Amino acid sequence: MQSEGDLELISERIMFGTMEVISFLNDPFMILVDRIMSLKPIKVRRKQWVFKEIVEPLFMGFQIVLDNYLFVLRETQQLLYECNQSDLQKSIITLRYMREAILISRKRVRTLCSRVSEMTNDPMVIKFSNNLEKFFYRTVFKEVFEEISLSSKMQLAEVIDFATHQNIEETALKALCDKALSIGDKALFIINKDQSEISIHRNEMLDLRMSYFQNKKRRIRNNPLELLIDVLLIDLEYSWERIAKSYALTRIHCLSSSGK
Amino acid sequence: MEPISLLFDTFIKLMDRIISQKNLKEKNKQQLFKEIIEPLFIELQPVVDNYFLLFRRAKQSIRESKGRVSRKSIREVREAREAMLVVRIKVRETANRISNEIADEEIANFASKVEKFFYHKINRLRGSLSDGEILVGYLEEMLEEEITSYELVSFIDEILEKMEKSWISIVQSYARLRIYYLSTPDSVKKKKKKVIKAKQDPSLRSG
Repeated sequence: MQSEGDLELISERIMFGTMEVISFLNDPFMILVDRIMSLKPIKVRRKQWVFKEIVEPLFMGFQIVLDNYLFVLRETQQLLYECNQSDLQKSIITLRYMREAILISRKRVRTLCSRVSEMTNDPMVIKFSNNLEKFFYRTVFKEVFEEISLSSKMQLAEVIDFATHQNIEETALKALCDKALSIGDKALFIINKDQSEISIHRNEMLDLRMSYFQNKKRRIRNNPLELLIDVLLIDLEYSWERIAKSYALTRIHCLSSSGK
Repeated sequence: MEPISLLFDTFIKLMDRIISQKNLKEKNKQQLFKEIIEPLFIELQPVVDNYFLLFRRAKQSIRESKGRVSRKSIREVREAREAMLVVRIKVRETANRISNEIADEEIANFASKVEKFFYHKINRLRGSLSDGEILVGYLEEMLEEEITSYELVSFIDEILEKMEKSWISIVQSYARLRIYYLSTPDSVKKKKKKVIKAKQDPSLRSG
């Protein structure tokens, strides 16, 4: 367990340090996105050119953005696990900042994806850019609030915000927790068709829930929120694995053939 | 695409650097990822492209020559395979070093997948020969008209399919390593250990 001093340091890092890091790390990716968008939209391009100028740099640049989001989410998860209400408020500020950062990024990524389809007819390249776009437009929690247009991170921030300002009944929290789990299950089935992998991740989620309820007396307020972050993290991880697989296939398709 | 010699040279130098690294055991997961996994993955990619290209070109050549094969094309495949030989040896050496020195199942799994890409066997009748060696053997047999172009193309397709699966599993392994080793704060890892411990204890599973 961390001391109060440690918590203060983490909070400060989240409040100031990480925010700067988010901004700093998102910028190179956005510069890359702008560079690709400025390419002339000539449809007939060689596969190798499309891969080297668009797919490969996007894949490499995106990884830094991914690292950043995952790091902040996991650190927030850790704060939820260990901290008091005031620390939680600080993590909400971080999440809000993340939400704003991703809102700015996602519009440009969507424009980029439509630009990619102007540059190539290649289904694999288009699928790769669509997978990238989906990362920024995931809506795994939409069923909780029935707000289809909101991003999952925005909804997550709202959930945390709501939970920290309201006195939610324990039964309502449990219901929310179960709802999150069932949505997580559904999302896994939609995202990945590999049944064995789904089963592994589902068991992991059930184990996490079991682990939370074992400690419910100590920290019941945070349980569903932690689970929501878990669902979000699993969703993010699947989204990333899908991008990676799509990249792997696109690479061999584009670089190991001599045709257009 | 970069010249093959330069491409292999860069990859071999990287593997030499990994093999000769001291204190691998003392590195944390972020360091292992940044100093070994990520550079290995980046440098591996053009080598993989090249390996795919070797088989795809052989297939294209067979198709274009309408079932005939020349000594020149066999020589080209043989030379490309021989250039790859040092890479294959180094990959095995690197995978062994990683497995022996780093007590980490996920990293060992990644190294093993990279090794398998270069060492998988699909033809039991041909014993311990590599795919490249088998391809050369088949091309020679085709030259002597002992097998048909159809049989050879089927063999190449089988290898390409296996290589594709192998490459995808490498990328997926890399993707998992990245999200678990690079972007997990140390404090979260401690918590995950507790969850794993809970999983392993059947008495905690009350339904």
